[in-house]
Amino acid sequence: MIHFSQVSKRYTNSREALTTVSFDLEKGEMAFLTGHSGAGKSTLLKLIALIERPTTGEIVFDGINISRLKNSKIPLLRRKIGLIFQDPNLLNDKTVLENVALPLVIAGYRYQEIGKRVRAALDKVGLLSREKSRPNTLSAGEKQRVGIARALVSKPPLILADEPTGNLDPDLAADIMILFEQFNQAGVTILIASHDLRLINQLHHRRLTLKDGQLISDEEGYIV
Amino acid sequence: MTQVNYSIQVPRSIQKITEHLRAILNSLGQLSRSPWASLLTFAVIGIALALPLSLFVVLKNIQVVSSSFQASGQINLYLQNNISDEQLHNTLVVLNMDEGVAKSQYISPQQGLQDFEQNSGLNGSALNLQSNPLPGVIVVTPESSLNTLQIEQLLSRLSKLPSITTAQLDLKWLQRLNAILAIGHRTALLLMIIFAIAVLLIIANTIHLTTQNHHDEILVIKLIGGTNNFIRRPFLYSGIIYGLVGAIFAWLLVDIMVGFLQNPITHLASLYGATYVMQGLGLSTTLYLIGGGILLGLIASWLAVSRYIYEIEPK
Repeated sequence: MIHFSQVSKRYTNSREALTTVSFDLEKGEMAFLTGHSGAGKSTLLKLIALIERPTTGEIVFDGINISRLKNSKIPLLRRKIGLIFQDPNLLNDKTVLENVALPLVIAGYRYQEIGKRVRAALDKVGLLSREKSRPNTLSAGEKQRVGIARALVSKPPLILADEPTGNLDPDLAADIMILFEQFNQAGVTILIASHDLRLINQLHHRRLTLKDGQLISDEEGYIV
Repeated sequence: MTQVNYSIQVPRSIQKITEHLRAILNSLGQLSRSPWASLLTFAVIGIALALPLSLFVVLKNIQVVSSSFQASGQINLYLQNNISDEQLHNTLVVLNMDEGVAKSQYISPQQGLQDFEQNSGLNGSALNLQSNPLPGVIVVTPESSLNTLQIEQLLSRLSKLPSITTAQLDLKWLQRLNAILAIGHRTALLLMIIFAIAVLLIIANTIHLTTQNHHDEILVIKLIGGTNNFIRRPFLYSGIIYGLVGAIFAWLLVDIMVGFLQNPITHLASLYGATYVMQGLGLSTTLYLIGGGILLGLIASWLAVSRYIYEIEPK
């Protein structure tokens, strides 16, 4: 699904954020990306979604070399990726339903189809009753789940999550992880960046560890 | 890779139309969320467009009035002193055979003196003169179909007739007026360009501020795969609406101005025994105004949004 080969990223006037990183993530895999803050986790995710471009090296996503993808092709790439951030970036002037519907509106789905899919996605994250609420009336955990529903609603083959549980207490964080595992069982490839080792240790998925921009370990997951 | 399931997506053409309708609703929503600010912007654009247009309307009216003067331009033919009645008769016959002449009238020196006394109010004083200093004059009215060049040709033909000393066509003042009007038109054009640039800047700045207010929304739409066109569209429609409504404001302003001046101008015309209905913008100018407003809005918003989108592209 994702192939990194000798990928480096240097921001202007700064040290290298990533140094010659190589790895493969297979279709249907679920993996954690860990490391201390500033190790390059966010940068790595941003390179996959082409929020940043690599300085050197090659990134292949879904059979396409995206390192040199034209700017005009980026929207179509992003429609294949569900992006989840620590701050879910919800739009407060729109309802929960409208927020989750946004990816379908952009892709030009039929009105009835949008309603059906949005309700299914909200149902999955347990927020169907809040569809008419404004995001600023929700708790942090609810907001994050709305963000997840928005990332899932167009059924992308890949989900990238950057510290999705960073703002949540341990119980809520565990709930979110269970959600991710459910999606993974449905066939979605998932890459989660997190420095919450306690939580990661409870789950037994593949773990990629970054340190100062270098990939220092790649531990296989196992089933308990 | 998931296959796009076309059965649940709308046909391309209908999708395009609904996307545009959505963008129009979106931009109307943006404008209605701050109605006073929007109204103020419409008014500023309207006034900026109305200023050069009203000058244009004034010039247009002066031109209409002056063109009716042009048609009534007369030629005065001054006769030699002491010509016989036969010579005068021959001259008049030859003159009236010219197809450029509509009408001619002979004014004898005696009659000229009387007219002068009456018009100048110097009754009796001229009688003190030893002899009548005025020559005989033939006043020729050219055919109204003649243009300026043909009138000039007629003038030179008539001046070569026997017994004529001088032929005079009093068009100098008209030429001067036309020269002044030409300067006026150029000034109006310059003002139009300057104010069009002003309108462009007003709309671009307004749209730029709106994009900043929608910074989060634009970023989110970009992150979930919205194309630049999708992001741009509502702002382009906002620009079009600013230009369109601003132009309608300008049109109303000029119309009100014309209506306001109509009565005093009718009164002035009636003092000259004429009727004059003031010319407004006219259909074609109104269409140009509205088309121009829309175009300015589109260009301004395109520039503002494109700059903004460029700033947030990955480097």
